[in-house]
Amino acid sequence: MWHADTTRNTIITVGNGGSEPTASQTLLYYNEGRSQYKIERVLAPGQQLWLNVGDLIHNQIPDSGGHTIPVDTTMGSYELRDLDHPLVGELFEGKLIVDKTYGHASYGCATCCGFYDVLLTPDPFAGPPDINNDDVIDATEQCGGEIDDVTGGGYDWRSTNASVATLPNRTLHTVAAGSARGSAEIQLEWTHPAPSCPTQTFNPQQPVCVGSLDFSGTANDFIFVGTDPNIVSANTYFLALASGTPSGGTYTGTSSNPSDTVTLTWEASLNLEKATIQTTVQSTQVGDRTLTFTYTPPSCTAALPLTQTVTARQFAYLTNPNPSNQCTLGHGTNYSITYTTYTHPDRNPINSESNLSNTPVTESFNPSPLPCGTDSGNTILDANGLFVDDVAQCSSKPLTCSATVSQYISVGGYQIRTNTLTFNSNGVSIVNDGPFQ
Amino acid sequence: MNTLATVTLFCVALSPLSSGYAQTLQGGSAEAGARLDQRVEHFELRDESFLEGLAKLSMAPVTGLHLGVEEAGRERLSDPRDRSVRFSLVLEHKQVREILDALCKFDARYTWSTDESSINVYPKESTNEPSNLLNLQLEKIPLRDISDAEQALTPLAKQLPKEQIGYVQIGGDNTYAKPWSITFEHLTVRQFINRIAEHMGPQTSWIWQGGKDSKMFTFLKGGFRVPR
Repeated sequence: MWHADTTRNTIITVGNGGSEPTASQTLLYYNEGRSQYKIERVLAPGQQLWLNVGDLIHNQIPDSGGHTIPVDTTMGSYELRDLDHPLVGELFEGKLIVDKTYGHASYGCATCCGFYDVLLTPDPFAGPPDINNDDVIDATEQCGGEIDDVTGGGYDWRSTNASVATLPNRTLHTVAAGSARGSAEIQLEWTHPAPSCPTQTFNPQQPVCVGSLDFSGTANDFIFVGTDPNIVSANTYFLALASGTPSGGTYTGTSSNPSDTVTLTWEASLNLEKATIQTTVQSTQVGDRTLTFTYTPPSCTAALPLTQTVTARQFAYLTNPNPSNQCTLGHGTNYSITYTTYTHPDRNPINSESNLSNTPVTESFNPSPLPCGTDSGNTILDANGLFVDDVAQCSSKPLTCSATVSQYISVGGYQIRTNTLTFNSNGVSIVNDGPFQ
Repeated sequence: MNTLATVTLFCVALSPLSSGYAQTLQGGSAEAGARLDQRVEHFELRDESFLEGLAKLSMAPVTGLHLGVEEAGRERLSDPRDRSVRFSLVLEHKQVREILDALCKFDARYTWSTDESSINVYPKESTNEPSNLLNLQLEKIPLRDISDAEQALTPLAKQLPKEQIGYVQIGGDNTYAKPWSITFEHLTVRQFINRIAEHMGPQTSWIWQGGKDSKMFTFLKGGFRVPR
C-alpha cells in the first residue's frame, strides 16, 4: 500500500539488479483499484528510480499516458513489472512511508506475482498426420488471474514417440497415426512460498493423438427432411478410421441444428461406423447446416473431428413432361406421367444419387370416394428418384362418366402437387394446380 | 364356403393348353397355396364393405399376393359403389384363406378361387355365367412388346369386338420392367387378366368394376385403395 495525505507520504524505489538494461513499469492503483497511474523507465544496470508519490499527486505530474492522480487521492496499491524479463524479473524495490507529524518511518516491499497452471496447449492435441501445429505454453498470472503466453521461455521441447509426432521446438509435427506425449520445460517465478516468487522449473506435458476420421464412400452434401424410413436411410454416412488409428474408441455425431437426431451404429459387416441423420427442419439456405462427427481413440482424451456441410432438402414440387395419349381402345385417354421431385431450398431434382428409391408416393382425392368407379393405388420413387402416375379413362365403347376430381400427390409424406382431373366423354384432362417451384 | 373344391374344379375346367403356360400352372398351385397359408397379424374392419375389406387385404404384407377382383354390378358406372352390406370384424394372426372365407361369409354375394399365382374374388353369380366377359374363352392371344398391363387390353378388344373393354385409373403405376412379348392359348379372359397383372411385379391387384353401361379394369402394383 502507499499513503499520501496530510500526515504521511510514500517513497517507492525501483532498481535494476541485472547485468543489462531493462524496462521497468510501476503501476499505482487508486480509486479502490479502478484507476491506475503508469510510469515506465528504462533502467541501466545498478540504476534506481525514486518515486515520491506525494509529489506526483500534489504537483499533478502526468504519467506515461498523460494521466494525473486526483489531488484528493490519499492511498492505493502498487505493482512493479520487469517488461523485458516477464518470466523471471531483475528488478528490486523498496518502499518508505514517512509520518510527517512525528517523524516515524516504516519500510515495506511489494509481494510478487508469480505464475501457476502452466500448460502446454492444445492439451490434449488430436489431429491428422502430416500437419504442423504451433504449440503454446500458457501460464496463469497470480495477481490478475490473466493467462499469459510464455511460449518464448520454453526449452527442451520433446516428443515421447517421434514416429507418431515430433516436437523439436514449439512446432508439433504429426507423422503417423498413434499416440505420443509432447513436453517442454520453462522457468517461471512461482507463487509459492508467498510472498516471495522463487524461480521454478515447470515441465508442462501434452497428450498427442494422431489419426484421422474420414467418410467411406460418397458423403452427400445434403440430407433430406422427413421421417419416412426410406428418407432417413438416405441420410446415411459411413465413417472410417485411417490406417493405424487405434480402433475400439468412441464415436459421436451432432448436427448444428439441435432438433436433428444423429444415430450411430456399428456395422460389423462393413467394419464401419454408420451415422444416420433424421431432420424435420428444412434449411433456409443452401449449405447452412454442419454435421460434426468425432472419434476418440481408446488411448486418447482428445477427439479426431470430421465435419460435413449439408443442405437439409425438403420435397417441394413436381415437374413432368406433357404426356402423350396412350389409349388405343378407341375412346378416351391414357396418360402415363413421369414425375420428377424437386426440393427446397436448393431447387434441385431427386436423382439416382439421392438414394431415395422406394420412398412412398401417396395420393388423396376430393371428392372421395372417387367418381366413375375409380380405385387408386400408390407408387414409389424408383432408383432414379422418378415415379410414374397413371391417369386413364379408356374404353372400346363410348365413355359414359363425367366428373371433376382434385388429385393431391404426396412424396415421403409431403404434399407437393395438386392436379385437377376432368373426366368426360373424351377421357381425362389434367390441369396442374401447382406448386410450380 | 367349399373353397378347396371350388378352386380345384375351377382350375381344371379352365386349364390352358400351351406348354409354357402349363408349366407355369403346375408351379403355380404351390405358389397360390403358399400365399393362402400366409398369416396376417391383424385384420380389422369397422363398418366397412366387402370391397373395402379386400382393399385392406391387398395392402397387407402378404408376400407375392396377386389379387383379382370383380365387383358386383352396379346399375351405372357413375353410380356410387354399393355399401349396402357393411360389417365389422377383427381377425388376429389368421391365414389369407381364413380372411377370404370370413369376408365371403359377411357378404355372401361373393366367392373366391385361385388361378396360378392369383387369387380371384368375384360374385357367385358370375361363376358359371357364360356371357360374363371374364368367363369368355380365348383360343390364342399374342402380345408384342407391350409396356404395361393396359396395352394388353387392345388385342383383347380386337378379339372381342362386341364386348366393352376399358380401363380407368388415377394414381399408381402399372408399367412393366421391360416390354413383354408372349402368346397365350386356351384360357379365359379372367386368366388372361391374371397373367398380365401378375407380370407387373411381385405383388399386384386388378379390379373390374362398373355398371351395366360400362365396366372398367384397373391395374395396380401392390394393393389398391377404395376411398370411402
